[in-house]
Amino acid sequence: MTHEQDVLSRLVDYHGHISAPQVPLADDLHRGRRRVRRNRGLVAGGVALGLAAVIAAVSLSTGQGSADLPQPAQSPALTTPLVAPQSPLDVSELGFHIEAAPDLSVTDDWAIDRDRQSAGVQVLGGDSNGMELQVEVYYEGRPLKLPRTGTREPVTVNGVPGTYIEEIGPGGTSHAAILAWEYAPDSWAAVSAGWIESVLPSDLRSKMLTAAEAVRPGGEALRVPVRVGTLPASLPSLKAAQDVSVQFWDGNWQWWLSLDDAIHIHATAETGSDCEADDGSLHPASFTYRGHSGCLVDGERIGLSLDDAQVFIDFVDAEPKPAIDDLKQVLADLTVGTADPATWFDLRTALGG
Amino acid sequence: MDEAAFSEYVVARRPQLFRTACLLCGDPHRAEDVVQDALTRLYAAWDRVERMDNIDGYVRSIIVNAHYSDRRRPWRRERPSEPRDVPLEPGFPVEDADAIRAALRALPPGQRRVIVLRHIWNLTIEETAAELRISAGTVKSQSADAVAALRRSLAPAFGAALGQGEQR
Repeated sequence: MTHEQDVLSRLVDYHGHISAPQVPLADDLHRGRRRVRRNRGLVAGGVALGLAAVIAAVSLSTGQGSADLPQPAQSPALTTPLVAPQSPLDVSELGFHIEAAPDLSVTDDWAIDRDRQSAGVQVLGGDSNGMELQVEVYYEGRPLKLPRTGTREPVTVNGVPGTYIEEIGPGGTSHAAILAWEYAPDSWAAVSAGWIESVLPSDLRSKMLTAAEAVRPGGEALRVPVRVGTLPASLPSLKAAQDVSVQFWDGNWQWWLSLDDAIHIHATAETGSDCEADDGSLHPASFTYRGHSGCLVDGERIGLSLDDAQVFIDFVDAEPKPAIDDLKQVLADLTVGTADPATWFDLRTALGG
Repeated sequence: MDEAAFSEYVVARRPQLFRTACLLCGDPHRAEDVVQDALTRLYAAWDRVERMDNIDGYVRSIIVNAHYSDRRRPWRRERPSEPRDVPLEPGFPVEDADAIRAALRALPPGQRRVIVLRHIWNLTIEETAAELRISAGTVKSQSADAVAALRRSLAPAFGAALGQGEQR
């Protein structure tokens, strides 16, 4: 054996003896889902959280026809169907809100998607303390997909029958849960949480039920921190935008707008945000546009540093790729509000309506 | 998103990724952060990466780039003043591990990356060059320099077996 080989064999031997920690698969899945949500907005995360990714999905059936569903008299619950808007520009406020409860904290996260509206809530106290739940209310006639497998229990949400499902992920180490009910004829709602603990907290079902029963009609006016300028003709129209969402991470706002499945505009007040390629490689500022430094990950992402925010467009899935100059123009034309939400824009104004 | 496939990959490859990250970072906590970040990115890009049929390469790039990123963005996390001990399976002498870890830490980051890609992941010179975006000649020279430096650093611990120093 040469000296070089001996050095390297000892290195390889050392490498092979490093003890890797036992990390629950559920933790990696949870972080992945959070990343997806961060990248694509709350709504896309809801899809990932919706348990349907690894199994065939079927529409929820409670065993009762819509017309047969008992409707509680004088219930404060949401019982009127949300009707899908023609465009996100037509949405001025959420169609529901979550009433305050001692063991729930309503977050400022929300999302508008083509088939539903979403809002976030966090559990306070108990075994589920700190867990984030997502409340989704689907527009009338839009299907809610649920997993075919998993343990099911009937529940009652404000007198309306529903289903609570616990799902076990691949390998048996991860779990998820969803509670769904038909809040109005042919109109579905769900509270979901999942894949964040190796075993679901014992009180999760009751906490999710509390959240479900706290859904009320009418919501607050939606405000967004970014206003979009006139889009170049080469990009999809704002009127047909797929989803828009606002989330808060570590106290900083995050805003997403998906023009379609492939072009996503993202802005954040988070300092230290960088232009990262999908493999994590950093791309330093490589151009200046209208006095703002910018970075470009060829074929994937473009960013610009505005005064109060970092703004990006992800276009990795777009085919054909949009013109870079058009993307620069979109970013430079964004108007960013201050940290005070009172200065933010209503949705119609924000989307150039 | 095929979560079953992602899960299978994580179960099969996570230990290897952690070990590699330990070699690059020298600190198990930082290594775990790097692996978590890599798998998080992998999850988000799974469909596309799976189609590329080079999942290992994708994750490997993230881990190497995370090493870059950490150096470029020191404000991203508080770093310990001294690296923590890397946990070992039974059967490997602690003093030998300490010597190897110190020798690795003494290498310039570029040489450390070359050593890991060439001799832990067994990439060819050309593959290593492409992954690090450097020339094949640089890979050769950095690899040779790194091995020589490791040999010098480890000689006091391993002695004549490495052609230098005294037998323990």
